[in-house]
Amino acid sequence: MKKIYILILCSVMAATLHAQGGFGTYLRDIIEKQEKGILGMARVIEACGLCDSLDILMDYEYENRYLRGLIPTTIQDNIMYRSAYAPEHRRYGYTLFAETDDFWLSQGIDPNDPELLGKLTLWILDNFQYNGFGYFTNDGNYESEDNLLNQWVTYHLLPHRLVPDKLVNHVNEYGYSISNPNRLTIPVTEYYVTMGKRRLLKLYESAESDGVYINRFPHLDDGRQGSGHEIACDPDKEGIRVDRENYIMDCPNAIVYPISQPLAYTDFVADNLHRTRLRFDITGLFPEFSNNDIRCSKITDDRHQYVYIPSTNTYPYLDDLTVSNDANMIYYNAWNMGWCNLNGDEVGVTGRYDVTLRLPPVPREGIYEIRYKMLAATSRSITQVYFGTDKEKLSPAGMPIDFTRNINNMQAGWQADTGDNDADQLVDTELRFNGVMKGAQSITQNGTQSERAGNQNSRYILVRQRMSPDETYYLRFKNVLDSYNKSLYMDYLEFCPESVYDSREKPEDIW
Amino acid sequence: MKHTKILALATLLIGMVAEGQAQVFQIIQKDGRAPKFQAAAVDSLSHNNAEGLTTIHLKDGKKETFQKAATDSIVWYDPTNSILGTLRQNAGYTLFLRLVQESEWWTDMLNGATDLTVFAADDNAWQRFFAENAKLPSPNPWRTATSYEALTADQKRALLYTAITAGSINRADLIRTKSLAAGLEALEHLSGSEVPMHYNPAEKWYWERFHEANGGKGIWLASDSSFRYTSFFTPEKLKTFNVTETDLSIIFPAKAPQMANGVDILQQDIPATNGTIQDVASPLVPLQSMADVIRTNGKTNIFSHILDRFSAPFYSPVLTESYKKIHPEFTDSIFTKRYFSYNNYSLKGGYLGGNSWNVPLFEPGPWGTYQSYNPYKDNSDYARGLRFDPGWAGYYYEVAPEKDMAAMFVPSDEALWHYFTKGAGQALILTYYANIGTADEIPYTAPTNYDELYRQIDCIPVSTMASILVNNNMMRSFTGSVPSKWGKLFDDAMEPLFDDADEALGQLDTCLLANNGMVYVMNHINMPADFRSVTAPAFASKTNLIMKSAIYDDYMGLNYYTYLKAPQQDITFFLPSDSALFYYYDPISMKSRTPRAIEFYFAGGSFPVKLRFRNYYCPYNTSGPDDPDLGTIGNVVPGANVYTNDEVTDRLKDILYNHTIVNDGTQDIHSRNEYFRTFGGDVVKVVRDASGRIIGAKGGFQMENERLGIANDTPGVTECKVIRSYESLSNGQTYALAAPLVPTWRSLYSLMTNDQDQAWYGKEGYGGETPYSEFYKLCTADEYETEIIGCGLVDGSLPRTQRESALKKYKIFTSDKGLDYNFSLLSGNTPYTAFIPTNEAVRKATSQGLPTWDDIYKDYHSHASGDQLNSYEDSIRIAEKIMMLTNFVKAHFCFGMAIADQEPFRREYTSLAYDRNYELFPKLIVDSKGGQEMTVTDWNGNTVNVTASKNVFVRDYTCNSSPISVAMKGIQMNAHRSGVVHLIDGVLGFTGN
Repeated sequence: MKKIYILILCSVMAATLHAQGGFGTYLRDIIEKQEKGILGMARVIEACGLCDSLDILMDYEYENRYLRGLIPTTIQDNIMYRSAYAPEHRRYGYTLFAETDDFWLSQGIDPNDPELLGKLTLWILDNFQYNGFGYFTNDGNYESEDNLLNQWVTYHLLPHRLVPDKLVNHVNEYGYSISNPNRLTIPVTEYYVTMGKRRLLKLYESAESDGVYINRFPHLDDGRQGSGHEIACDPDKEGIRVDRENYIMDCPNAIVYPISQPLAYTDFVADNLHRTRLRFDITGLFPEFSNNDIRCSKITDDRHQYVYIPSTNTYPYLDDLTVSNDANMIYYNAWNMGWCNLNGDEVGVTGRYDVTLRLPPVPREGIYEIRYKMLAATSRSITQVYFGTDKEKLSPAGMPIDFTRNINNMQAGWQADTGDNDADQLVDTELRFNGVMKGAQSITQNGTQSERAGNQNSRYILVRQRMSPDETYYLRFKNVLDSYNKSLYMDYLEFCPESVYDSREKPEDIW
Repeated sequence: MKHTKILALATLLIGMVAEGQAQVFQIIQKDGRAPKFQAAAVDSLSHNNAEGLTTIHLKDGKKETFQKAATDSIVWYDPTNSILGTLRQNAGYTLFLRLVQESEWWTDMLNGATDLTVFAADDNAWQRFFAENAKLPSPNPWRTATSYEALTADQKRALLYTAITAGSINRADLIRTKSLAAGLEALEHLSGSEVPMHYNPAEKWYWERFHEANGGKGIWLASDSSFRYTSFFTPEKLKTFNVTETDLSIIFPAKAPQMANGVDILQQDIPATNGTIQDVASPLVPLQSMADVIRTNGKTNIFSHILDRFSAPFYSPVLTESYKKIHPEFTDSIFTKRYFSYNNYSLKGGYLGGNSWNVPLFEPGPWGTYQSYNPYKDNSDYARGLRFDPGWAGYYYEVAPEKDMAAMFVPSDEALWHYFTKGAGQALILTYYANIGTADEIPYTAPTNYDELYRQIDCIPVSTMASILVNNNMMRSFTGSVPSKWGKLFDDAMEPLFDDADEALGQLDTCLLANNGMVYVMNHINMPADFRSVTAPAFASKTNLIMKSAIYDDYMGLNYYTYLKAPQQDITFFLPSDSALFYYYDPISMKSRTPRAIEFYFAGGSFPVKLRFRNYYCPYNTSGPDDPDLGTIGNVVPGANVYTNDEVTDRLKDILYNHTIVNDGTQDIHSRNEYFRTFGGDVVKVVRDASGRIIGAKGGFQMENERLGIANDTPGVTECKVIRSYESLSNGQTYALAAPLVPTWRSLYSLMTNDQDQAWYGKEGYGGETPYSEFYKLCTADEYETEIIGCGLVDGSLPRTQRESALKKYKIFTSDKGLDYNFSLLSGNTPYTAFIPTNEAVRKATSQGLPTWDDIYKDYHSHASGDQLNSYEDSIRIAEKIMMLTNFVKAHFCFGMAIADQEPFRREYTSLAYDRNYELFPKLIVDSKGGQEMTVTDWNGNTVNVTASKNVFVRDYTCNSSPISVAMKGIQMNAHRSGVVHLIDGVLGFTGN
């Protein structure tokens, strides 16, 4: 009887939420009422046919199965010996960075203009607000992903609902302490995949930046003896400041940040991203983690600290990650536990795991290394890694890797840093030759002890090959030991372009 | 057809008769009787209310009386539109009707009230059926059914029983329906020569007493006594199971999307008052079981023979008694053919309890009785188990039998023939039939016919065959293993069943539907990776027990099999046999008190590999290159059988890593090259014959002995001969060797100085000038610590450990528990190349301003008071000289091995020199036009040539304890570093003053 009651209640709630509507309804409302503020952006989004998908609040099929007990609500985690809890919901959410109507007026474009779409398209072309290397059409079919205006507007939209203190995550970067949260230190960065044609959008904040910026590319004091801080920023690389004070959160599944400068995936942005080592927190790749308050939650009860994600066959909770049946995936939030992971958190997939991850796009065609952070432990396994573009037919990326071995007992040449640059550089070069790198200097345990210092942490160079922004790539990790007690550790991965790892002018930084 | 409960029997009957609502009615009694009456034949009704009786008076004078209390219901219907009636109304079903009407009982059934589904073929379909039967292969029991008249009584019964099934078949989640056929329709007599047999004398032959060789007269055999199922596929049903229309089109090409038993259903669900008619394109024959399909289709005889080794005859009193009722003249016994399995009729039927492996020692008899019958040899028969009994018609696993069935991937005869005669399976034959390498070895010749092949493959233990078949080819679920899901199928070892599902589809020969599953005949072998990868010759072997143990056993702590079984790789594995491992020349023992050859031997037990030692005569315990003992093995080392297990694992690990080559695109064993990097970072040189086949291989030890001019026949001293090649393995090739590849003992120091350390020990013939002498003199920073510290490059006040660490970057050689002095610019097991300038080239460079240590020493001490330099400027100058010299030396070393070989290449290598301006290590470009010519160009654009003295391989060791001049007990290799040395005719990274 109780279950029926809950089901009815959910249906009522769902009906209510539907009546209230999602982001799509909100934008249509603005258009209908000719409300000033982001009217221009709303009209463009609506013309590009995005309102319907922006209206979806949650996955009701998941709700249904969860309530009917078809999804295990808890499992026992044999690593931390706690119960891990499946998310109660699978919500959808969005973030919009929107140029204001005042901005458009300053550009001579009236958001009320019936010819807005055409004029805006012309403005985009005239101001080179597009990626010259990419393919686009200009045929008025705004709903097509190839359309210029569609590409332009979707670059403003993220499928993650990021509240102001989650645009970037300050947790355990070098020098930072969560007990003194307002004292920022070295830069933190998030790279998100936008809606529509997949492209990267960089969010950045440092002590020096005075706020969160989009696509900021400053100069950093990133030498071996450097501080890691931002030391300067060329005016054309400052990026776009996100107005976190005047955000709009008037609908349940989206948040809007006004911006006062134009945002676009220009050649300039793509080129600068192509000159950058891109570091992705694994959980940052999953909109589901952002939209369901899973990632970096500050609530310390077990339900928020140990989150069980069901296998894909049970329910495909994550769009970009598939998990085999014989394995349990648990997200360890580890808030305030001082773990030496990027943002402190990590994911463990335990069992006869077979995990496939859809990778974010690269900014430009070129040769990239894909690196994978590993924390060696006896609970790890020997894993075969696969890579490619055909999800069902990925090719092995080298021989299986024994993730139980730390960087020291790999005999790869690890030695602790001495402070002598050329000696330390030689060690790094030797490690790279053997396919591994030390951990990152910027990631610490409680702000001080860097992951670079410990020989348990390493970054494996899994792949080095040419990649294209027009392709979608996958990484697959398969346990080749016949064991239910081994786990795959997932923290972060990196895309590093050849111009960074094999620069003829300066070595890759240690941060 | 309508049912009704009895409220007032008489009233109801009168009403029905009066109104003519029913032409026929049946009065269903609680005791099971159900007499029926034509309404038109009823004359009158009478009733006795007091006794609750009703009597029906028929016009022919008969009457029947019924008690209301004893009556369950009344059923009435119009037989005109019954199944039989409907068929009669449609022209062209005469043969089917004839079949039905031969049985009065069946005539009544198809006319009656019971809800049925009937699969009926028209006359044209029957004629086609008869014509096709004439073309069937001879083992097929339907071969003789070439006309209606030629049908035997049993065949007619089988056709009829299969065509009719109780109830509706239209539930979306059912793909099979139980027919009324059970067991006897496939009864056949196997003659004394047709009875299954095998050639392995160590196994019980369960069919022995029926074989003519033992006076047997054959056996009456029904494959199974359970009910047959008719499969019924429609796109809607299969969609429920995610079986796609593409799957159906692959399994049944050119077929209609709906079918029963593989036969097209031309028209579905023709209604009748007592069920439905499915118009089919051919009479339905009872399908055989998968075991029988495999036996009779003509393409899978070898696999059928292998399956038969898991079978035994079981007496069936149920079938025997049933048959005797139909054929009273029959006096023999009928058996069923069962397969030892983990899922079978007896287990699911509840005749077994506890463990599932044992097939019962009895056969269920009529009405719950049992007849004792024990065909087993002993309890170990459980080890022979298949995943399920492929002869069990009523197969099911986790869901009801109507919802799924099994599947088997069966290699064709062609595929299996190739596997056992040319592929990885040959290793099994050589091991178990030819006993290769053992005292029982017999000559092996390839078979020329199936019988010869059977004699060979029957020597393979049935438990080995079980793991091949169980793990890989028997799928518990048909719906879970249709072609669209082949990419997601895994065996028990979590290996993908198919490396490439599309490729596997291309190897699908035929799909054969059985009553209990689908047989996919494949032109491909699905064997566990253990049997088809480069580990196969070790895994299935009696003479490679040591390497098998090293690869698989837990005590090694390596799980090395995961590397050797890695799919979609191209691996070359050199496999030293057990006898080959008598000749492991322990490289780190060469400068010990007892240079030795280790004999590994397999003793079994929890730590199965043991060691013995014999003296080995190397350059350091003989009188010189002319000593006749050089390169030979002497006596057993006395008192030396004391060693630790860690030494065993240490050497075995080194052997494994250095016998594995990964052809990863940067190198390819199939090229013309001779040198290949091993998985452990060392180098192997292959020896090819005129046609390019690999006939031998050399490790660093063998190459060094060759370089020293040692020439004798002792196995493994200068070459390891290939004794057998396995070149068609799924992930590469394996070469069995007569001796193991051994890395060199020769260090870079040893090479450059001609073992100067031996000269210090007073031995003659060592030290002195070598082609590397001048460059070596530039590498002696370890003798100039005073100067390095004195000029301020290293802070002399540091604690010793830190000071040593800081000095390390200037030192090229250090003492680090190796055989002499280790190359110390690198820390890990990182291979490197040393481009060493000739003495002349070095002298030229020094004349152009390159400082030497001698210069530095003189400069320092002519400007110092004691060890203290006089001025800051002196410090700067000395420091500059030292840094320049150090960087010059380092410029001649690079990461990775650049080997002069046959194939041309051009590659960048990162040198160990350091550019302080850019904080980078600049690159050297190595260019080879092939044929072992090579040049090196530095970052200044300066090009030098590699001279004739090239490709000398060196290896430094760091042991847990120094192996110099000591007894070798307990000494292991903690680390090693391999390099290749080339002499060049110029210098690198130096542009003069």
